[in-house]
Amino acid sequence: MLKLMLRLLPLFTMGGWSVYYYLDTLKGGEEAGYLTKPVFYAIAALGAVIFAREIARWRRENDRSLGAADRKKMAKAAVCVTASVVYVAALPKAGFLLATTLFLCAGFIWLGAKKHHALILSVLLSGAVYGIFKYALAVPLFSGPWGF
Amino acid sequence: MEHFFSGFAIVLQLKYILFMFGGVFMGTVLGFLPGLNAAMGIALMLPLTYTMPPLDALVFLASIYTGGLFGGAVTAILINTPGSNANIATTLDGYPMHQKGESERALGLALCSSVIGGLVGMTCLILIAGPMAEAALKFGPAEMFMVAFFGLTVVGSLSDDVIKSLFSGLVGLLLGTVGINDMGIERGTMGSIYLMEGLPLIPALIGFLALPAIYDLVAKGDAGQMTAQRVSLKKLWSGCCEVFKHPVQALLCSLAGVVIGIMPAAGASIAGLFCYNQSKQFSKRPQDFGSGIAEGIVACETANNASEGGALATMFVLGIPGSNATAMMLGAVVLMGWTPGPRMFSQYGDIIYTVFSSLFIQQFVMLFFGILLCLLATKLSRISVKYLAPTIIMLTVVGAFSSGYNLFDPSLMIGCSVLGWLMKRHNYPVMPLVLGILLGDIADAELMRIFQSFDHFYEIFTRPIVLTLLSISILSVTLPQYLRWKRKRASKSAV
Repeated sequence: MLKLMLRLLPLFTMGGWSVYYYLDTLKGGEEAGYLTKPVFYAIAALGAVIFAREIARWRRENDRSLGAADRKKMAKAAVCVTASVVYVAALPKAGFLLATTLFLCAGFIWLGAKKHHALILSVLLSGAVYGIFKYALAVPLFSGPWGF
Repeated sequence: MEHFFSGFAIVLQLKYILFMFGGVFMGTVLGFLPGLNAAMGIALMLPLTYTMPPLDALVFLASIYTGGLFGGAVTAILINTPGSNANIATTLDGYPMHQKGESERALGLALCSSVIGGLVGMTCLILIAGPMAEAALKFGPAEMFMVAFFGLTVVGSLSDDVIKSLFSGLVGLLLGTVGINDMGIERGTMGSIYLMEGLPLIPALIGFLALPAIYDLVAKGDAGQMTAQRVSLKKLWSGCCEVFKHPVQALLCSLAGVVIGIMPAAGASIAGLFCYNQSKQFSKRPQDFGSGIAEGIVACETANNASEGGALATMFVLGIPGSNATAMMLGAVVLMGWTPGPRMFSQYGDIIYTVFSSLFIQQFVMLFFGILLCLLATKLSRISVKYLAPTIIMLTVVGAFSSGYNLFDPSLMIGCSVLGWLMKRHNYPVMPLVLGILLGDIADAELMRIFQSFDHFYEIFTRPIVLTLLSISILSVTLPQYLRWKRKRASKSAV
């Protein structure tokens, strides 16, 4: 069942957002929906076809469970996404330099790098990127409680 | 045309030479690293171009693009893994040649073919871009809408699964219309001020295209990374020279590549496979194709590089991206304040022709870096995923943040990356979605103008250009299907 749910996830995500968008467009009157209304109807029709096809394909499959390799791949991707979210959330609080060093160091070690290599490389990379973006390109990167 | 020749004087200044060397080097390295490509390089370097003048930025980004085209051929030959879709056909004869112990010959053939294909492609770009733009200036809302429609009709041909491809393209079209429209009506912003001006393009593109590739790279780990290969300069050079034994094939495949590249989203992969198959059919020894022969590599590498000249023509003249990399470049053009479309070419013709001049020089820079890359392939291939992946993720977050100086953009990028990864995993093609996002706004605005200018929608079909574009749109739907059928046949017979 999990396999089917995952397979339908992109369809439901895109389809669900399209329904929201269509309803929002209705509030704007005729001018808001010259293009979006017919496009939504086409999306609804195609979505129904994809849904029916995915269900039929799932029913035909002998192995309906998620394999160990698939789970591992998904877990790794989930870790990447979670780490990215935490990193983005930490930027304004910890500052760019500290948050980036921690993110890189943790990432390198998680993927199998030696701890001292990871630490040195993450400090060097964070410093280089901070220098280029903050001073060479004048991008207002976040400063942490210590001013960097 | 005078802009083109005077452009040489400009781009031969030290500043532009440095941009070209830096860009081609970066593109070559990114194209060479499995999982990465020129589109990602352009995405990563976009923040660097925010403060640059348009010419500097375009020369730099075009150089990354040029370098990325050859880089993918190296992995295709050495580890049977195309660096990008464009190099799929290169594996068919390149890898068997490498297995026979003729890696240098294969790399030399690919490098020289890429340069020849690139030069033919750029020549065609200069010859056709002007007339295309002149005709395009006669475009009103009806014609502009049809151009957007033309771009959208190809979404069905971007994947084997036409239904999913259309579904993705249409959702992209809706995403492209998010924000406040020309009538002042707010749509799909969910109350966020960051979406009022539309979906932030760069974070969305990085999220949909670049990050899912990194997640896959992390999942695979270091498996499949290149083992040490020694490359001899002498053998490499003799491989380069061997291309000149097949001049007619190189020229014809280049021209075919340009024609296929002009069709938005038909792409370099179809160009490479189509020309590989045609070369095989017209060859005196078709049975040898797939066993590691020079003609196989010449066919696909000239065609895929030449197709990018066609793709750049549609991007610069019509504002329609033909590949992920040109989509990224179009994003950069939008950020410069240029409006994609036919008028872009007349307003900024001097800058665009100077970029064309630089594209010529970039081919020779690519030759230089290509030789270096082949020689240093072993060392570069040792960059491990464990160092590469976190660094790329960090750079994408910084890139997305730099596009708007707010945290909404990196958050949106991560959200898009999850959707992009799920789509990739479940065979929903992402390119139609990206195409929809880019063309949605134009299609929506022009359709509204049509309803304001005409009593009925069908009146637009009385205009000759609209009818011509409609015919081309129909062709663009049917021709790729035919090409795909040919590609399938080529793949089957190659196996």
